[in-house]
Amino acid sequence: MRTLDGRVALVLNVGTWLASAVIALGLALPVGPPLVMTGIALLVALPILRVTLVLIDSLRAKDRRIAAICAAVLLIIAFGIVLSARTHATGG
Amino acid sequence: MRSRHRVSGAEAKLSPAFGAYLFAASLGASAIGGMLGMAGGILVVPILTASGIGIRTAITSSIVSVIACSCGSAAPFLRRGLTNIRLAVVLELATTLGAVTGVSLAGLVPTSILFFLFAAILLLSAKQMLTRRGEPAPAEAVSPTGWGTALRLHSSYPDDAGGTDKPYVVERVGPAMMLMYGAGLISALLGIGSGVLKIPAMDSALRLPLKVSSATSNFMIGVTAAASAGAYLVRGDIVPTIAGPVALGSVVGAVLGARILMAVSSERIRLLFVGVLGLLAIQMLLAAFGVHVGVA
Repeated sequence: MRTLDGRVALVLNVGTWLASAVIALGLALPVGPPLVMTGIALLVALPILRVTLVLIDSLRAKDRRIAAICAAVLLIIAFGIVLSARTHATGG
Repeated sequence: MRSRHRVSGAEAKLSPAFGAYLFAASLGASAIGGMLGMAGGILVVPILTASGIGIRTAITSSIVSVIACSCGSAAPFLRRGLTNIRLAVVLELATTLGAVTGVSLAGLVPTSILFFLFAAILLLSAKQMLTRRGEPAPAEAVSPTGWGTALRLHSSYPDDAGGTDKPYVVERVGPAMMLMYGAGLISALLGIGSGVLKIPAMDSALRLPLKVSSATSNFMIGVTAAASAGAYLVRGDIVPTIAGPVALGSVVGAVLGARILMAVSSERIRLLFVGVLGLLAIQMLLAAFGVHVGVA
């Protein structure tokens, strides 16, 4: 089985190329912007997925402190997104 | 006051030629940045504003490309065992919190202040480029009560000279967290990787070996930028027709830059880069006072 470093490296590498390919396709095809947006959303999701991988790994290793820190980082990111969505919805 | 900006019709509908120009410009910026081991985001925003794109759209486009560059270049560092993943996650607590703060402030800060702040960051980067970065004196005493010990952040890295791994300790995590919060805030506010603020934190507080510090800093930038890009995305502040070509150009540029790095002497590039940063700082300062100098 791969080490955590190896798994994270693989996910980030494949993810970047996948997201880039979707963006490139969106720029080349007439359907355009929605596909480009999907590629951008994939890029944004990639580091979040990476923190999740570290979280799963630390849970498996019963490394509670690092697991709690990973969970807190994910919560902060989620909080920022929810906060923005709400200000966006209320328009203020 | 409204916390989000509106995208003008001209920005949303772009010709393929302008898309190609954005791709090429970002590729160049990212390649030059990559050759010097720094993120190209600091060049992307000034290039976009000089091309007639509003600074807020330039910032949200750049932050997407910052994620792409961080994720796209992380693998080799991880495989060589230079990235300290545990330390990165701990510091990301501070950088993501800073990023969320930055996004909340972004809509409230007037554009003239954004230009002014950006000029200051450009000048700081130029100064950092001029003063060569030395290997920091390693932290010595390991206090058993420190975070570094409690969270088992100490690690080792492969040194080029010998075949064995060199151990290092991580100390003074607290002060580093404060600096990282600031770095995250500036990253979200200006759409940059904020390496210019992370390097002092890594060097003066944590005293990590240079290679470990560069790899870990670059690794963290992705999560920091994702925190702000995610928030900008749901707010509708990201313009796909601009952010798309910029992200794509940056990824390709980062790959090319890392390749060219081996072939060209970095001393001349360094001086050239200092000059470019200075010029961009002047351009941003002029823009802060309402004088726009455009290239396209």
